[in-house]
Amino acid sequence: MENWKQNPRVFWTLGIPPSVWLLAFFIIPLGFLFVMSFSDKAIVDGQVSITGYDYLTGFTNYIRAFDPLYLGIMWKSVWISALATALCLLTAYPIAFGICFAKDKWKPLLLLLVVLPFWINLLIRTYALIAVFRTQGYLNKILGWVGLGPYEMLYNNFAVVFGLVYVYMPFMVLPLYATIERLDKSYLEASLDLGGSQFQTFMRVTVPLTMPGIVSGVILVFIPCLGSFLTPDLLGGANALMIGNVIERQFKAANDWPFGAALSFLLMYATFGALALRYLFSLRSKGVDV
Amino acid sequence: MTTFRPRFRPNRRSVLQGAGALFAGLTLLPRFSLAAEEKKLNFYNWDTYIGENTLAEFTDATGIEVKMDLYADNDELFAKLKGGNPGYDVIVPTNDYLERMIKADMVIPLDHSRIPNMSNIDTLFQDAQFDPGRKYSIPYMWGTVGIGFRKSAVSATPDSWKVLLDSDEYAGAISMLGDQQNVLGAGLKYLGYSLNSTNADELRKVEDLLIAQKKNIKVFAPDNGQDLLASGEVKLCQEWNGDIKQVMAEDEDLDFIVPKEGSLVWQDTLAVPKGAPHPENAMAFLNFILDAKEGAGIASTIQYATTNKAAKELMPAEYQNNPVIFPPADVLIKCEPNLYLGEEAIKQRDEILTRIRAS
Amino acid sequence: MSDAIVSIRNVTKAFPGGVTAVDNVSLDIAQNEFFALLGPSGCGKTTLRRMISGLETPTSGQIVIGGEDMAFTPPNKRPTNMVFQSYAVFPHMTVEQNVGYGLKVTGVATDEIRRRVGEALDMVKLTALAARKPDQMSGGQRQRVALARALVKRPKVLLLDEPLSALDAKLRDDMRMELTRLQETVGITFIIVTHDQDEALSMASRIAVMDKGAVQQVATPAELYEHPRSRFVADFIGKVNLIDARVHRQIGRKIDCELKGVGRMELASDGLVGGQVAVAVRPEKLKIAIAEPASAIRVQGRVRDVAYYGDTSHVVIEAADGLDLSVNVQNDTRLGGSGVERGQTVWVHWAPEDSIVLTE
Repeated sequence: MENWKQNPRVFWTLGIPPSVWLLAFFIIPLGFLFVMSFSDKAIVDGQVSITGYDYLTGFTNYIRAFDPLYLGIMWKSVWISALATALCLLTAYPIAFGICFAKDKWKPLLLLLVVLPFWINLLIRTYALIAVFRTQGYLNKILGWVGLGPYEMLYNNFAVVFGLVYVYMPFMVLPLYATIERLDKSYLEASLDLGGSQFQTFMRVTVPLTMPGIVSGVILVFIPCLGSFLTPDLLGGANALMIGNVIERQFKAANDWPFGAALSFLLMYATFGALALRYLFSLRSKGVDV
Repeated sequence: MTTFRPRFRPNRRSVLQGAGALFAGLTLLPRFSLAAEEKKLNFYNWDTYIGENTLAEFTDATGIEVKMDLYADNDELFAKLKGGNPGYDVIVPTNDYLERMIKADMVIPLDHSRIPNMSNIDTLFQDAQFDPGRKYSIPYMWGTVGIGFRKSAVSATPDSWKVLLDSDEYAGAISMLGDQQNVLGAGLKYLGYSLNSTNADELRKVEDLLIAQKKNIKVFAPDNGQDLLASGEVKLCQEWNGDIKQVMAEDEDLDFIVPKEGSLVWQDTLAVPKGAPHPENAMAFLNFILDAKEGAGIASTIQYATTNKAAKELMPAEYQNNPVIFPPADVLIKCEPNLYLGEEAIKQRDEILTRIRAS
Repeated sequence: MSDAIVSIRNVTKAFPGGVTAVDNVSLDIAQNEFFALLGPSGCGKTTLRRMISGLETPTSGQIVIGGEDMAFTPPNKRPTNMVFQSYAVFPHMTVEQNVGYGLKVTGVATDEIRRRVGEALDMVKLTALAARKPDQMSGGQRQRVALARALVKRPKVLLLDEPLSALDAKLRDDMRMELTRLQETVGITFIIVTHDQDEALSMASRIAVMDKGAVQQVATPAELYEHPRSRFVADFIGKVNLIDARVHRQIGRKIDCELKGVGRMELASDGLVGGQVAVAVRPEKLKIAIAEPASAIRVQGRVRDVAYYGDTSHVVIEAADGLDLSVNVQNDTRLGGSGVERGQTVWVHWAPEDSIVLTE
């Protein structure tokens, strides 16, 4: 690849459309919301305006966001997302591992099976889960044949976590598969040869050497889970309120865009914080003094 | 060995080709009509909320093509129009949202001279608290919120909000609506207060009541409560009367009642948003809707209570006397329309709802 | 042999799909031997090695190590250890952790681990690099880590996979001497698996030459070189001239045969031979003379090519009947050169006992 300085015209011609796209559809709207998060609804004639805003009035929205009510909801979202991510990892790892050790001709088919649900609209997939899990759904019907149930599997935290794991599974399987596939199998053989059991080999060699894939998968699942509102909305019970639902309501029913913007950005800062922590952690483990 | 470096050399032909492609692309962007109104109407409506043949008959009568887009709730409608009208001519806001939009200067006054069929409107609805003189809207459908229930699953007819808000009898088999007007409103009515109260003490009592009851509520279902009732997920639900009526048609075991403490009575209206590209066509459309026959056609499709007296008279007796569609007078007295309470009050109530849902 | 440390008895390995990688191989490897499995790629040596270490199981046959049948013993329980061709040094551990890995996973006490790791690192002269990570080391250093890691376990058998192939010429020599020294010091059986005959010849005390899943010949390097028992072995090890010959009759331990391009002669032969045989002669056993020599076997021909290698020259001479003879000439005088030029007519002669009669 040549240095871009040698061909500035080509560089700018190719580089401008995506830059414009990024600017117009990502940076500018995000910037608008950012400004909004520091603003308030305008007060017109002594009454709070419906559509007008006073821009850049201060931190009132952020202060309100730190109210225990919202922090509690955010904490619950973190907790549910962490649980869903952990479960996703625990189920995806064996799947990715299994695909890696399958016969070569089966591999593309197996990968397709993992990715296929992804092609189907999220809403339809979630409704499908409802059809399976509700009191008169397919699962309860089948359990009924053997005299079990019916169980309450929907409209509770279980359903939300399951729904999140189900929806984000491909995001975890694919990076794991990519890393495991690239793993030199002779490391595993060496561990066995030196006396390690299968379990020891897995814990001491396979997992540390596939850590990059694990971390990628975790990030790819945890972050969308945090902000999800569709899954808790459809599958959750009276209890399943996540921060995504609250943010959605601010932009719709409550008509409080500044507050919604503040909550959204708080979520983003928390995400950046987690990513920064991970970066510092990886620097430390490389032997760089942090 | 020299490296081959591809050079970008724009010559005249490629520049012209590029420009031509650019212009062709630009023509695909939506255009603002500059000439006299073309025969088009953009209708933004709720799902399944117009007669089966109404739009086709309108096109037959006037030659105007109607394109209908759908929204799921008032919030979506409001959020869409808040940043500027994306090109709709007729919208269908509920009374409190119409009030909000009037205050925010988002709708235009109607040209009554073009809507002579307004005389068909029932006297009750010819004027409205939220739109004095019907300056900005015509009434469309009205209805109530109440309790949908499965007859075989309840010990007695649930004629009070108590079964949903203050009782363990049907723990885990109850669903409520999801918006603060209805959740808090039901509580306020049950405790004997006004649906539209902004009194902090009264609201706190409702909050405590609901937080205590929450463990018995299975889910807050803003739009599929009737499906949950029909499928047996819940035995009772707080729902709009029209939604329950639809599932009642398929299941004889279901019924609907407005609790004796009273409930919310709502009215949907038709209005013309500011910046509508075809205001003349909009007026013609509104007039068409108010026609007696068309009104009857709409009512028989969507089975809600019509505000059109002339249309109602054309409907069969089982419609006119149906207590689910037209609740008895003694209960109707206790019902209140939900008013637009101002942004501050909305914010306050929304936070109460968040607290209830997070508890 | 009674004190065989590794006994491979009629081992066959057939893979699904019809490939027989190892075909009824039987071998005995003695204690403290430096043994080599030598052969071209696809000969089955790698599969055999994997079966010894336990990473593959035989389709039929037995593998006995230290007197115990290994049929139900998984690799982590066998008294063998391996040094992989790629070294497989764990990249996420330091040298010290790598070497101590095998001890750690088998529950050895921490201070003993430290002691034995120290000894092992000392033995391969890597003590100074104990805290380094593999990505900061050279290939040769990593190999020594892999060696230490395997030897610290005190296995009965150490398997090495192409140990010199990844090293450059100078390192190769150093490592060769190092490995030989180590084997004598530690006193355990080394088995190297390689396709490189120089590796095998220079290090091993006995070599098994394999081809197409079967063992062709097991012998000491000298014996393999001077007494190959098949065309394959003669050709695979070192350079060789192979001359077709027809046997007229057998006289006791000699045969009366006609060598193509050379002539009729009597040669010693170990066993009964059939009609067509090959006579092998090593290039360094052939001598060039300008005048007709008095030897029993002499061929006249024209020099086709002279390749100069500094210490030797390889001369190719064209004789009658399409026979090409390769001769290794020692440049033993500084001023003489190889003594021949292209196009020159010369005589090639050799002693009859330098001919090897091969039947297959």
